[in-house]
Amino acid sequence: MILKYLLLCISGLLLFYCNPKTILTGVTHTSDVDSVLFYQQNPVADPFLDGIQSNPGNSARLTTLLLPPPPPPPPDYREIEGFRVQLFAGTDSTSALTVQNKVNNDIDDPVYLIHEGGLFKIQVGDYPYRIDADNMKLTLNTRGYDGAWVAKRKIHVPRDSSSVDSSIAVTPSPPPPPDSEQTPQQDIVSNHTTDSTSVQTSEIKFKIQVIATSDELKAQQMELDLEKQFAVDAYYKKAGDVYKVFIGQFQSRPDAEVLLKQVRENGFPDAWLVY
Amino acid sequence: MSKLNILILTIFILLVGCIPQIKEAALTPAPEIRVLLDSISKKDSIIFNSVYALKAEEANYEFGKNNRRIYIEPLESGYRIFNENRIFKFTKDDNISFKCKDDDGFFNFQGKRYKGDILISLTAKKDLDLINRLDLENYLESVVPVEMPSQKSGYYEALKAQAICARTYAIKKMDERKDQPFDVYDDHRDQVYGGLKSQTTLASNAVKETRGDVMMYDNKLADVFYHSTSGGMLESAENVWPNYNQPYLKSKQDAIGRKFADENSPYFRWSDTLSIDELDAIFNKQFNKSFLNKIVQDTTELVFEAKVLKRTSSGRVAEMQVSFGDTTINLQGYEIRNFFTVPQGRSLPSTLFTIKASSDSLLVINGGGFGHGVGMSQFGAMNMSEKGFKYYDILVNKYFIGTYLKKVY
Repeated sequence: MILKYLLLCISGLLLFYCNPKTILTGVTHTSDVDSVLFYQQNPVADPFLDGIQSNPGNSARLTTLLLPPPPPPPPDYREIEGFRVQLFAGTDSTSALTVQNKVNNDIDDPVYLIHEGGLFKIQVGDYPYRIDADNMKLTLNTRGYDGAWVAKRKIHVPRDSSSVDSSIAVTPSPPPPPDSEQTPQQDIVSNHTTDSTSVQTSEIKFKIQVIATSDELKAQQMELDLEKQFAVDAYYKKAGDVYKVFIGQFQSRPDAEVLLKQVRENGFPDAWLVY
Repeated sequence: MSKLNILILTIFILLVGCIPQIKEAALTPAPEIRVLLDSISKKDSIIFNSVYALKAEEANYEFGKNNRRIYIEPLESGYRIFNENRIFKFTKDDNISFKCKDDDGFFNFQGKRYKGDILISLTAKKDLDLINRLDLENYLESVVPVEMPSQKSGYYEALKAQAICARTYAIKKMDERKDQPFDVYDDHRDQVYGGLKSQTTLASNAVKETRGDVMMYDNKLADVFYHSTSGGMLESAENVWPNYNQPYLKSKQDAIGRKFADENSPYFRWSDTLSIDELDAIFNKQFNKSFLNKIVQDTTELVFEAKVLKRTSSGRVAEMQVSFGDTTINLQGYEIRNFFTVPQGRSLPSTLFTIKASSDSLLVINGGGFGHGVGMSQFGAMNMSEKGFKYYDILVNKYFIGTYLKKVY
């Protein structure tokens, strides 16, 4: 009896493992669903697909505003007569650029590439006073720029003129009278009409340079002589290695030119107007 | 006792009857397919991993014994094949073949391994066509695992369905192109053929188990199409390719019970957003026009507008109008998917989508599905397979209703 059941068990197991499909495919797949023909009765509801059906011609509109570019900023400089050191002039812009790059590395002062009269020029600095330009020329000469020379031309100075004149020693302006109802502008005008020498610092635009010397004693002497001769305030100022001697402080060019004429006619033909 | 004897005898007979037929039945040979591996314009090489015979006019040469690598190079008027020992020159009209002498032999070309023979011929453009000629069933074993994931045994029935689709497609192409130098490309222009290394056991079994099975309609091979994800809505073939109008390729919902067949696909629903800057970049690329960077004299309103003009019966966008600045274009069909390429370089997965503006400068495209939507959804088939449906249900009773399966060899 036991043998009979044992045989039955063994044969049952053998039959199970003999399943030829398992051997052939190596896949033991138990299906949840047997193969069935499937008929769909009602369409599946779906907000996305239903939305397409209900609104087939949909559209989208995007808008943005294009703004015109802001106007170019006003130049932060004004042009005055002055000096620059010219290093190069030629018809070849590439050579000019090469020189410009080289000089830019050598010195801190601004280097300009100018195209005028068919020539590309490299000029260095903005020097209201010739002596500064001459000094720069010497500096450049020592650095190997042999052909440098000082050219007189319009230069760029900051729009705020105070930096040009800041080096000039001036008497502090008197505070406006406390009971004055005048605007500062009117105040200046009245000052100007009464006494042209006591102009406020910010309004001094013109003065006359008479001489530049490396000898301080000579400059001091010259200052005294000039005051005596023209009865106008004279003063001197150290600029680099030299002492510049000036006379007069004016708001307007015509006033300055009157004095300049006098100075030139009385022994100082090289005197010139500075801003 | 005699009862026990009878029982033992019965069990013995049953057991004998159950011995699996390990002995393989003699198989009808499968046809050979010619797959273009590459058209090379400069020197390339093949490495033989068994003996290959080159049949030239005067004699037979064998390669692959000592010098396993040979070089092939197109020339001005013909081409040459050489290794360290020999140089063979051929004129432009010579078509040569390297025949594999070993059933398990293979060769390496451009980093992939291939079974079968090599055919070489020069094209009209003076490129060298390198064609792999092999048994169609071997070819399918390297196609099915590339076209469909085969890492999960639950996909087995879907893989079988895919094998039948791939076989039907290949046999159709072999018939159409029998006068051409090759039958199929090895990439998306036909079916992606990954070579020996891409084969998997599951996919190979799926091919073997459906050996010779093709899908028929009206006594002819059926037109077979498949795509990744339908997004719940199948497309009619004629909406994508006007020449194909088959009753078994019509638009309908792609559902199983109360659920969509491929709702497990990552592309079942998707959403892309494009900013007005990105749209401007698209226009700049296509028309060399950037409207955002245009310098205007006065404050100007720049408008982008997209309109769906026409949808197909499945709801996919057939035609749309896109206008931006002073440019208006009409896009149709596949152009639409290509046009709205997101900055990552991916085009739209499908044309089943709606558009809306989410703000003044953001276009949102909400869509469903991946691919053209005609024929079988692969994710749908995989889902059905996991649920226990059989491959013939997937094909004949679900995606190609009206067709039937037939063993052609």
